[in-house]
Amino acid sequence: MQQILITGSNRGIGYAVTRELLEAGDVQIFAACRQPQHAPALQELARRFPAQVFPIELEVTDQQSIAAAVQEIQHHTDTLDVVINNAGIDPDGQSLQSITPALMLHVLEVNAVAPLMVARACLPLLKHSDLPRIIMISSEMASLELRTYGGSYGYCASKAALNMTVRGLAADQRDIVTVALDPGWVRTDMGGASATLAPEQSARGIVRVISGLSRSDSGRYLAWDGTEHPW
Amino acid sequence: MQHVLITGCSRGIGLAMVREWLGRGSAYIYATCRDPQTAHELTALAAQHPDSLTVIALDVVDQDSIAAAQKAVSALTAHLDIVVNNAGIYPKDDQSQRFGSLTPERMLDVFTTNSVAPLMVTQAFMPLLQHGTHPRLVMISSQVGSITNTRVSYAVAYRMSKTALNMATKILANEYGESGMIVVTTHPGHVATDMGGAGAPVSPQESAAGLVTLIERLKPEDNGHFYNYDGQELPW
Repeated sequence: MQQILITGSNRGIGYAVTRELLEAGDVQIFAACRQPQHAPALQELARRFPAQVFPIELEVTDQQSIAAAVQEIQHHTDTLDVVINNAGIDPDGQSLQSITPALMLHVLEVNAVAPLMVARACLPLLKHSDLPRIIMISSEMASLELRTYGGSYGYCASKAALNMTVRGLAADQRDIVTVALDPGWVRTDMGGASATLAPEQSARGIVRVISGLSRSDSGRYLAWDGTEHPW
Repeated sequence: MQHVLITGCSRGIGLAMVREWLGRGSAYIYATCRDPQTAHELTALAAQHPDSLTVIALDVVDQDSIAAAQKAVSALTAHLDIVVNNAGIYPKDDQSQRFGSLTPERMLDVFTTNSVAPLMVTQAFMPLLQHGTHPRLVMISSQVGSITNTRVSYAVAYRMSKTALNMATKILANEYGESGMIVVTTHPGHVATDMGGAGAPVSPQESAAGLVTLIERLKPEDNGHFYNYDGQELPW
């Protein structure tokens, strides 16, 4: 059985990945989000799969909340096989003319600093796994090489910084496979209605990539379809 | 005579760049620093070179200070040809540096100065730069911000902040390159400054000479790239 923590699991890609993980196999999922009591879809999933889905309250920018979430997971298990840092934000107002220090810093905090803090808090549980994996849900917009147009300063900078954490973690935690994973452009609240992928399509790809990871993949920047991106 | 604005000029690479440009006689320099009253070397230079150097107070993490500096520079010139975002920090405490000890608060401090502030300074001075001749926007980043080259976890917050800065630079290059501006991010070398440490292999003079040469020779095809102070290109 695979034991998995996923953040931002109440909607969008996080919710789709949670469902896909349930389809794909023998799993126990610690489905974290800010307010599980206000996440009806997730609660419904937990009712249907009471032995497999455990909603966990987690505000990723709050160190006490991270500690409490890890403690709650430890009531169920001493092992995590996969940590999926999926929670992220892409607020309006990120053009050069409109961006403010507070907004940019907040985006960096949620998208780059928090995933590193969540990953670090999970290390004691990951160490008990035979193949521990940390997945940073990144973006194609994190690639300096692939970025060819303007705007979205905070989001792109935060996701590029997140990719840097992947390299740092891969170097620091040699027994853990850490990758950056681009989910594609997905029809979610964040991606918008004109995005190219259905959440289910992206989620299937993400779960396939995670299942196929081996130790030699640590430190790589992969996309949902298994292809590799340049930094 | 080109009009050049440089941040973080009280010491280190910023001060060395001021000296380099003064030596060349090819620029009028707006040299900013947080507190001109304590920047004795810089203010002494300004007293010696009143026709080519003005010192401007600028705390890059303070929006009011940025606005005041922008106003002060605007009162002196209608255009800037070169803006160099040099001010930065490299905190050496464990909470900023070591993976096991990192705190979000210290990490965000590093981001504030090294990633957010250069973008805010750019936001404020972009209109002046857009009136410049052959305008160039230069970030003093670091090669440790290269994701490709990172194979250690040490200084991860500093690394992340420079990666974020590099991304902001690439986006600025995409956005402003079409109008003829050249935007680049640079690695100044491992320089013997307060930040780099006395044992660092590159002298501030060497770094500044390399950077000023690089900046003065920038061509449109250089837009959006990451350069070492000696002109070699670095990988993202």
